[in-house]
Parts: sequence; structure tokens; C-alpha cells
Amino acid sequence: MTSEDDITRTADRLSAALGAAADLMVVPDAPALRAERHFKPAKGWLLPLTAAASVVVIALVAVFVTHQASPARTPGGTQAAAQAPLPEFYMTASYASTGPNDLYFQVRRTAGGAVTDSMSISAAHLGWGGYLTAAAGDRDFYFAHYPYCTKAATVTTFSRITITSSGRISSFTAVGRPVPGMVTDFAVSPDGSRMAYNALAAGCPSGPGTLPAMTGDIQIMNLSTGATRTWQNTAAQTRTTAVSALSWAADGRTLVIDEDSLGGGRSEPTVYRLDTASSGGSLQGDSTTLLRQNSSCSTCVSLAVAGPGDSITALESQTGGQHPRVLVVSIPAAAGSPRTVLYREPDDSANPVLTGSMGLFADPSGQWVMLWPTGGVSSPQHHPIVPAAGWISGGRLHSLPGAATVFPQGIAW
Amino acid sequence: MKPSTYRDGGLDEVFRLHWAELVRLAAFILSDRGAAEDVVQDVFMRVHRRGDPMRGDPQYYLRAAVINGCRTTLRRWRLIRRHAEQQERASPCPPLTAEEAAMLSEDRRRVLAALASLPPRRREVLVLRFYLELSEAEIATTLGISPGTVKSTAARGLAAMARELRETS
Repeated sequence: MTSEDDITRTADRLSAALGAAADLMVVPDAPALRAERHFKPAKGWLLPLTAAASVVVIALVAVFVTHQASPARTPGGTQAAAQAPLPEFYMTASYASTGPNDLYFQVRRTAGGAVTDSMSISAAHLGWGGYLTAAAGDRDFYFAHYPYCTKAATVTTFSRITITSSGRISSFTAVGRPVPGMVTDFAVSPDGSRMAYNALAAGCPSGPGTLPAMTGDIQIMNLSTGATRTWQNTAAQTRTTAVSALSWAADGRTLVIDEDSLGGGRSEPTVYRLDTASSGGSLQGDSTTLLRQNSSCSTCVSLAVAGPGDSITALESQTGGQHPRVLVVSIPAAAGSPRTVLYREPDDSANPVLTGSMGLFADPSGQWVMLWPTGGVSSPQHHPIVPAAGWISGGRLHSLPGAATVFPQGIAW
Repeated sequence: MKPSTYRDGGLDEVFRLHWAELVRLAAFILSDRGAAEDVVQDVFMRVHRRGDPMRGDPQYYLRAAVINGCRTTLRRWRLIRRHAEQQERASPCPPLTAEEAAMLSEDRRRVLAALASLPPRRREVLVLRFYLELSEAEIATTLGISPGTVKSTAARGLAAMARELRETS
């Protein structure tokens, strides 16, 4: 007699076996479909005419493509950037029901939201949340993790999950060198060769309300060699600073750093654009300041990440109505250039978004951004706000199917 | 399966997009990679020669045509008793080659072997369900059977596999 459990277990095993076998199965390229088609031999005098026509067509196509990719058509960017395709997959990381020391990853299709694969790892904790990032190409995802707070000094390790073109997980490997302390944010360069991070030197907080010393320093590690360069945050000598977000521009050289100065009242963000070509030094010395905001703002930046070209994309909250409204804007690097509103939460939204707990996640091209509830949103009563999660295009929030079932600690695409 | 671009990109584009996935689908049903490629290529060549017989979503047409091609191949194998000889020569974990099978865990090899031992109809339903992740309704449309038959065939197939796996463990 076969029990219901047996059937379910067999179904799971079959699904996993077929997925793994499909990934291993090397299928040769499709053969020429038109092998049987018969063509009449071309006449000799047609050749020069065909060549001349080809040149004209190529020139016209080049002019058309140049026009399509002109800076004027790239909102927020001052450099021409080809339209990157919408990422085909995104990955979420959440805590398993067994507790905060087990991480559960899901790969989902952007279109349709189907889960294409999942995996879990034990004795790993994402820490303060959001430490999942992707390299360009939509196949390599990285995350930083350490054992759940034990009040002892911790070491943060980094791992990479690679997926196939069908969204199956094909490998899970450690990358780079472990870092002493707790990494508070990190980002992997679009080509997957370097990782920028900020770490707290001490271990877990020693008790409620206490935090390890923050430095605001930025480290960049070469993931092949483990060699690390450091940019010291000189501003941290006079005020308490914390890195809120790190993101690489699509050029793979510029790092956008969103930093908060902490103190009483509201936080005061500063957004830097760090040129990482040097061997390290002073964060302020090697950076340009893109944005600085004091606590009297009425439209306040809560998070900023690298956008297309040299722009940044910022999540803002606009006060004045019944509750703060979420705005996502593109801010050009050039001073005085107009901002572009990419998305504004409708005034009549039935489920207002909790601005303070929203995350903004850009793909490595900076052209696609996702809005998603993050830290602090982990209880069932917050379910109604989840449909507000989605990706932004054409002024609209395109909801991601299946979002209601996931409260990710990390998300990347 | 990726969204079809048949209407926009023509048959070449459909062929390029779906070739690998259809070959894998056929390979899981036939347990023979070479024969799977032949079946899929035959399907496309037939479509190509006839012009445009695909109506509606080409994915359904192509999956159904590939499965029909697999059935024809299996019937031919039964007639000439070639299948048994092929099985002897084949990898211990069809349709993977011995090298590919070596990279698979023992448990997954046993699961694939149990799948290969099922009657063709059960194998078709389970591959469509657990490889292409089609719904019962989609499988019913593809195979031209009722959703109820899909459900019962899948349940019997899984039960048979569970028994087989229990016996070989």
C-alpha cells in the first residue's frame, strides 16, 4: 500500500531529478531548419547590387539604433545606455519555519511568478536584511551570511548561487574570503569580480539597544584573490554613520554609497559616488557627493541606489496627506538637472505602503527597479501591503505574482 | 517554456527557442537522446514543409506533436524489438549519458530509472507535470485527454514509482 506521504515524497524527488537531469543534459545546437529548402542560383549581376543594398540597409539601421539609444531617451542618465532586458528571474531569501538560523531561497520568474527552484541552508542568517545581490546576466546571485547572533565575535562569509537559463539552481559555492565581524551591506560588481561591503568590527550586539561601533568604512574585495582595499570614512570621526545601501553603477567602476548619519530625531542621508579605480584611501576624497539632506526635508530620501548611467534612483516619502506617499525618482548626477518621477503611489491607494519598511532593488544595469517591503515586515498582519511589491515601468508598479507568499529578508534580480 | 514568438519571429525563431526543451521532453519519454532529437527535428520539418499548420499557441501544438512522435517511435521500437537492445547499450540512467549520469546523485539516478520503467502514457503525464510544470488542464489539452484521466494517471504513475523505489532501496 502506498501512502499519501510516499506519493508526495516521490513527486518531490521526481521534480528534483528531472530538473537536475535536464540541467546536465547537453543538447546540441538546433540543426539548420532550412536544410531542405531549395534556392534558385543567384544571377551574377545581382551580387554587386545586393552588396550595395546591404550597405545602405546597415547604415540606416545604425542611424536608427543610435537615435533610439540617444541620451534624450534615457531618463535620468546623461550617458547613452542601451535598454537592458527585464531580468527573467529574481531570487528571494527568507527564514525557514525552523527559525532564523535557516535560510530558504526561491528562484522565481518575473513573468508569472512561478517558483523555478528553491534551496535552504542551515546555520546561516542574513543579519540585518537585504544582503542578497545579483551580478549582470541574471544568473549569479550572492549573499552574505553568518550564524544567528550568539553575542560572540562573528565572521561573515559570502556565497554564490548560480541558476541555469531555466531557473534551476545549478551551483552553490563560497566566494571571496570570510570577513571578521558583521557585514551590514554589500554589493557585487556587475561582472561578478569584486564585492563592496561595510562591516561592523565587533560581533553581535551585547544586549538590547546596543550596537557595535560603526565606522562607515567601505571595503572592496577582489573575489578571485581575496585582496581588499579600504576607503576610510573621515566623516565618521565626528558623527555616527551607518551605510544604508551599496550599489554598483553599470560601468562596474563607480560605487554608490547611501549613508545615514545617526543621532536624535530623523536621520540625515548622504549619497556618495565613489570612484573605485584607486588603491583605497579616503571615502570623501575619492567621492563626489550626489545628495545631502537635512532633517527638515518634506520629501525625504529613505534609500538611494545606482541608476542608469551616472544617475541615482531614490525611494522618497512625501509627507502632507493622510499618510506619507512613496515616490521613486531618478536623480541625474549633474547639479540642477531635473528629476524624473518613475513611480508615485496613488493617492487613493487602498493599501498604503509603509514607507519606512520598503526596499528598493535595482538590477545591475540600474534600469529596472523593484519596490518591496523589507525589514520589520514579518508578521501576517502585514499581508495586505504585499501586493504593493513589484517592478516599476512606465509610471506603474507591476505586481509580481506569488509575492504574497514570501516575506523576503533579501531579494535580488 | 519561454513565451513563443512564432507570430513575430517566424518558425526559425520558434525552432531556436524551443528546440532544447522539446528534445529534453522527448528524451525523458523515450529514454534515448538521439531518437529524441530525431523526433523533434521531424516535427519541425513537417511544420516547415506544410507551411503554417499551427493554430493558436504553438507551444501546445509542438508539445503534442513531439509526444505523438515519441509514441510512433515507441511503437516502431516495439515492432522491431530495438528498444530492448538499445536499453542494454544505454547509460544506467536514461536518457543521460554515462558521464552525465555520474554527476547525478544515486537517489536521482534511481528516480529517473523508475520513471523510465513506467508505461509510456504515465511517463508522458509525469514528465509534462514535473519537468514542464504544466497544470492538469494544460496536460489534458496537450494529450487530448480529460483532466480526470490526467489526475488518475499521474497518481498511478507516482504510486508505481514509489513502489519501485521502495523495492530497490
